[in-house]
Amino acid sequence: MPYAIETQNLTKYYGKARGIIDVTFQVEPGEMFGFIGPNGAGKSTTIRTLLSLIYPTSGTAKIFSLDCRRDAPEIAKRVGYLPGEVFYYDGMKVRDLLDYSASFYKKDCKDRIRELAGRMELDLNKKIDDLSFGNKKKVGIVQGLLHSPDLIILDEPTSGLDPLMQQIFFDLIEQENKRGATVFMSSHILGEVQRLCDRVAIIKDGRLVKLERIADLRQSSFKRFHIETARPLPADYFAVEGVRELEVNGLTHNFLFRGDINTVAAKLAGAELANFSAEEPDLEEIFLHYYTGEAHSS
Amino acid sequence: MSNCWTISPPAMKAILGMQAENFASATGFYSFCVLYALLLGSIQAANLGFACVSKEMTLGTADFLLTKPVSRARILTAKLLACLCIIAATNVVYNLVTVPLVLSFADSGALKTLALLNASLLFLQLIFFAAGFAVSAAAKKIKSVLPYSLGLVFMSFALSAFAVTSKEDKLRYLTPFQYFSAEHIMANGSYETRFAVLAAVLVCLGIAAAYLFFIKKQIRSR
Repeated sequence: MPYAIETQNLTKYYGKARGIIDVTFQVEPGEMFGFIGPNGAGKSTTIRTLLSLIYPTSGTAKIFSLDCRRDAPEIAKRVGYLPGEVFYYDGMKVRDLLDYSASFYKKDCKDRIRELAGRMELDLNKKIDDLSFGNKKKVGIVQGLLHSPDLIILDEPTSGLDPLMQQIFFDLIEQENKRGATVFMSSHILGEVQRLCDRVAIIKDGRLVKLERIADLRQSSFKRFHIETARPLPADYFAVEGVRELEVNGLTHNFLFRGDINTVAAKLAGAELANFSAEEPDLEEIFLHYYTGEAHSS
Repeated sequence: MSNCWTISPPAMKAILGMQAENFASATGFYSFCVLYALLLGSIQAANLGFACVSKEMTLGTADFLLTKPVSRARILTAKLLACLCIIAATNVVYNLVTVPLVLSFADSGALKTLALLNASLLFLQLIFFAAGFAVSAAAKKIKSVLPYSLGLVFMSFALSAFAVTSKEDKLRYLTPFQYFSAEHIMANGSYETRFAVLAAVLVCLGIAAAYLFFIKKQIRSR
């Protein structure tokens, strides 16, 4: 079975400005693939190259074994795209826009539009100009899914949606995936990618730094500990295996930890605590501490 | 009236488009009026050209349209045909109004002159449209279209007046307003071949350039 998406040394420069450099990855058909990185890392550049909105400086990108640039219209029949920010024509009603969108695909999408709009609680008779950002996003979602695409490309899909709608949206995407659709989504929120995706590619400064199964990522994920003790402890009290970025400031000890959680638990048990918190580091921290750190130590 | 004609400074006559020898005849007077129809028509056409592709960029709808299963060439062809329809409609209306009006004052022998004068509106519109179309397809984004179309048309118009007053023949190549000179039509009952050919070449170049630019265009996010 051919890959749903396949890129080979995909590189894009905007003049001299870096877009993406040597991005190589494959997405299996039927997979849910996450693409995460901080703003400006190259997520949208990659997606826009896949969609042939921009053209690569070098390297190749293929979708369903078709060349993204040469066969763009052929590919587009099977791809649904939800842009990060949705913009639509002035003065159009939601229904007009969706019908217009459907008219590009040679199939009847009427029932599907009604079903999707019903689930997203989207009023088809409203003017798009009058919609809130979140509701415009819903138009984008229906628009991207109305032709039952084989590949769904989502660029920061949940921004602007309230948590309830996010849940409905995730259910919808999971349902599409069960139907057989491949999902490629970009995000800067690790949580939502972890929740949906099978594998994740992490992009930073235009380069792919890591491609991991979500299950593996979870195992290797760091926790950030903030500890305040009642009595001073030796500065190296928490300097056990797996601890990184240890900062001791009087009674407070801050560090990142990865490894067997029991070693820290044992240490904690031996100390008299005043306050304590352990949290998931945000994505920025993972980049700052984990990936750059790993590059240094190796 | 004829006294007024002789004492008017040539520059003013040029700007107003009073080049006709026989200002008192119906077609002569009309040839003067046509200039203003040309001016307005050119602005309309340039506006169409500048807006038709760039609007998708400024509205941000290019992402929507260009990820649909149609080739960029087909999108541009659809846009081109839509604009040509508007230009054609403008000309139909213009002719329906002006031809009966002028013929009610002139003898029927004036029909050919009238046809040539009126057709110059269509040709001029095509030139300005093609120029705008090419720029529109090439530009990253045009925030406001009107300054561009007004700028282009008025610059050409001013250059045309300058070409008349300075009697510099080479200048006439630079401004489409000189390609279908009413003066020449009135005197010879025909267009000047070199300029008619030039006009056709410019229109073809503009449209061809638009296709080349648009197919290669990078659609950056807003």
